[in-house]
Amino acid sequence: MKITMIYDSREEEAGRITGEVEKWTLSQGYELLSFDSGTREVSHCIGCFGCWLKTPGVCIHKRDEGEDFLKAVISSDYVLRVSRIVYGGFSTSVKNYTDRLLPLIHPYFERRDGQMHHKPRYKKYPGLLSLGWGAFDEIEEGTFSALSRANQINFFQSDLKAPLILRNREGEIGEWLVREAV
Amino acid sequence: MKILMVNGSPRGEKSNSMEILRLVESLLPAEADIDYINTGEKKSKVPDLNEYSTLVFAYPLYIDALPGSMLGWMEACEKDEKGRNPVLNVYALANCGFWEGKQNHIALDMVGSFCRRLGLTWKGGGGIGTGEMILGLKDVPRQAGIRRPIFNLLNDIAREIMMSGENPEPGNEIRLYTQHAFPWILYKYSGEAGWRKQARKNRIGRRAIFARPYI
Repeated sequence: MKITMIYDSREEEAGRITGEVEKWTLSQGYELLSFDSGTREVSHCIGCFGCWLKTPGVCIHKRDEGEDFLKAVISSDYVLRVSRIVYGGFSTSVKNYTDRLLPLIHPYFERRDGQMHHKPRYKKYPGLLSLGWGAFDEIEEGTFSALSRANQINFFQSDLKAPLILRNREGEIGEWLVREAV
Repeated sequence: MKILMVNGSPRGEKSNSMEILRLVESLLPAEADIDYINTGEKKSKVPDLNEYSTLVFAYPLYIDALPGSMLGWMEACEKDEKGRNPVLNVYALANCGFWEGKQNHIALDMVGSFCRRLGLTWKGGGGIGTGEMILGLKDVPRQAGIRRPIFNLLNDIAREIMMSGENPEPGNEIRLYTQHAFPWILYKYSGEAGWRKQARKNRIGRRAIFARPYI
């Protein structure tokens, strides 16, 4: 199994959390590709639609890790977004990486889950897993869960995985990964 | 009344979000004192929010949430002590390219959380679907049936801004959702035709739109 992980090493908790993920994937014999948005920021998506209409499937930004991230994501079984919860979503640097996933999606529309969504570009997509900490309150935790669900629907998952919102209980990361990813 | 209009679209001036802010401005009294900020600009600064009575965000939905560039500006506001103004009334207008205005709900929740963190007054806002039609129908009269749901929503928000009545109980902020009066299936077909037309200008044919470069 291959997992791509995105995190921001500047976040206080990130070192401990990614360390546990690395330890777990090693113990399972899984391949882990890590992207650190703290040391390798990507340009924010500028909404140009070049990835749909000029160079379909490819972002126009070439001077950062964005393309490597896309290639890693589409070839992985799971993508794990590890982030401090900011206003119920992901932090800016992790969100910038997420926004740059748009080339993986096709511009045309279809109905899924009773609403309009974009069609898939590829035949197979990785499972999207979200791990967060530092929510301001329960409302932010609820928003993070809703966002995780919405993103999975937009990334063509039918088997939805619950996010992990850390409450600093020992072993919870490993238990969650076993429950949701294996 | 001094109002800060914050355009969260990375496309800046030529965006549907900026057009929404201009439409809101046109529905406010002429004497309203209004400043604009584009969070997509590299030099966009964190203003002193204590100078304003009202802040109106307008922004597109990016992967079900706020665009990364707008989020960066908001985090900068949070770090800056000038951002703490408990009497600042905050409204949010999110728009998405999908048909359903309701798909913006998470993006509105996020602005609510921003307000709670900074101790601002979250008044609520609206989610607009069929967002790409906002600029596309710019020259169509406002009274036209197709645009009416959008103007009803923006009129309601403008009225709320001007009245600035009692603060809502948490959880009871304004939430209005709408989309242009245009059938779902026609929006899909006309949207896709629009993509093909733009792609052709870039010499990208129908089949090339389906490219899978990372297999």
